[in-house]
Amino acid sequence: MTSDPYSPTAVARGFLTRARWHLEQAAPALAALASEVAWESPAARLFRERVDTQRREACVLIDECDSASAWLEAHELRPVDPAPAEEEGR
Amino acid sequence: MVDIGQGFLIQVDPESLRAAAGRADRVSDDLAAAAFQAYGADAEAWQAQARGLGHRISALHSEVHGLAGSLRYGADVYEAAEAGWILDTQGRGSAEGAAALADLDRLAAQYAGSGADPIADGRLLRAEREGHALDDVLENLAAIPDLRWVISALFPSTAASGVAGALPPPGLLAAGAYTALVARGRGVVARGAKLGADPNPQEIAVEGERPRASAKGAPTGLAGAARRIPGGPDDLARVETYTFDDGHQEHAVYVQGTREMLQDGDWNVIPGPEEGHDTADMESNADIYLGEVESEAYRGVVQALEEAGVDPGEPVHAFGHSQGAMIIERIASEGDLQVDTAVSYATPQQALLDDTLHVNLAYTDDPVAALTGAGVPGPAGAAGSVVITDTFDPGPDPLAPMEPHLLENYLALAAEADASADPRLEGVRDVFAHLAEADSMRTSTWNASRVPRGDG
Repeated sequence: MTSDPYSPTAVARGFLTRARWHLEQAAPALAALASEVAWESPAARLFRERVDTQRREACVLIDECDSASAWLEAHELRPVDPAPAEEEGR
Repeated sequence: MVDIGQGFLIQVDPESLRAAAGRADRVSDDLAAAAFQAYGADAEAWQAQARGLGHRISALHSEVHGLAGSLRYGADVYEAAEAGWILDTQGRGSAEGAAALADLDRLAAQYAGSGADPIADGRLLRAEREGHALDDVLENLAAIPDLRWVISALFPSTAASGVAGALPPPGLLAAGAYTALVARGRGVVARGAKLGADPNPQEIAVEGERPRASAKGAPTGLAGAARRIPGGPDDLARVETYTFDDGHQEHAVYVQGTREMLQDGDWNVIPGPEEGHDTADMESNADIYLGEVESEAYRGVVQALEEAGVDPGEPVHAFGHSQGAMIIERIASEGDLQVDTAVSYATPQQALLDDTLHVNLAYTDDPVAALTGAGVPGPAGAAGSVVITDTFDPGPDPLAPMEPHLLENYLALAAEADASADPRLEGVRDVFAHLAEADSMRTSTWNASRVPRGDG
């Protein structure tokens, strides 16, 4: 069995790779935004907390792209068969 | 916790907010692209764990997009609020008023039909800030101990006992009188406003030492500068002259606050012959704050600067506490000297300046600092001008009301600001760094006393 670059899973992995790339741009940019906005005021502190929450969410999403890609890769090397997939889902 | 803003309305300058919004936009664009790709994965990998990722990235994109919008709207609300303040305080006929009106018209046109109204929100913001400007001080004044029982105890069987019961609690009385005083609107000095001549002037004697070389160097921050404000009975002002390698000179002046509260028994606030020897008294306070005239202490500091060799064209960096702060605010406002920097600790008056880097430190529960009222809505000086505030919270001490005002307590606020990474303090940090580059420094201290009438 070989990997089919046109299989739905391979195409999906390509999408995920590109999604991950954009998230990788976003996460440090959010960190930079939070640190650049180093204003001392209650509103600015709330702003930084909010941006930091968004940065952490971006990092979580990067991890999820990775795990989804890994899952897809693991399933690329065998023919797509709904039955085993259902079994595995149980 | 220390709070740094440009004024009582504008926390962060609108352009910085818009710049931050621009950065958030770029993040938002990346997230939109990431969501698009993740939706693609969703569509292809029908049985994969990728399902739902597109939706979640899209939700994050919406949040960041909303953040950018909030920053821009906040900038517009600040500008609308400041424009409203300018219109109310300077009128439509002034150049500033006309510009403010144009700003409001532009915002009204920009948001027409959008459902959002930064002008109305600016009005609400301003009402909220002005309405609560004195809250901390009034809470502080409420701590004044109720001693009416002393009158009843001393005169148990006289009418005075009944009078004591009928008097309002001292804290309430003080709060009412204080609010009425601030409502007179003397806390903000209009741009270009000048002090008049004292109708009851008294000759003053300004004495100082010959400037001497000092190896002390420049202060390293706001706390270091505050420590140089004199505190003795014979040193109203300290003047430092910095000489740079190109030969040019700059000066720092440090002016202390009120030293003498009771020298005539009436705080010298009752109009009449100014017999007090010490010029740094309540009479001098009242002359500037209420009378808008040059007090003896003000004249003393101006004369001290002249005698210390300050040339009108040479940069002056001025620091003062309380009355001393009010004096440097007014010297900067008068424009006779080139005051490049004015740093006020607990000033009762805040002047609107143009070319001066203007830094105000104030505890929100300091009854003297709160005499500015709400203060100025935006920067009260050149770029880098800021207002640094905190609440001191003196607690239930019977002498509590004036505790926040003490210079020693302002050292803590100044140290907090020095320790802050806030980029808006770069302007004042640069001043200290610049003075530290001087080749040499000379220092002298000066005092100003009233010459008793008949001796002059």
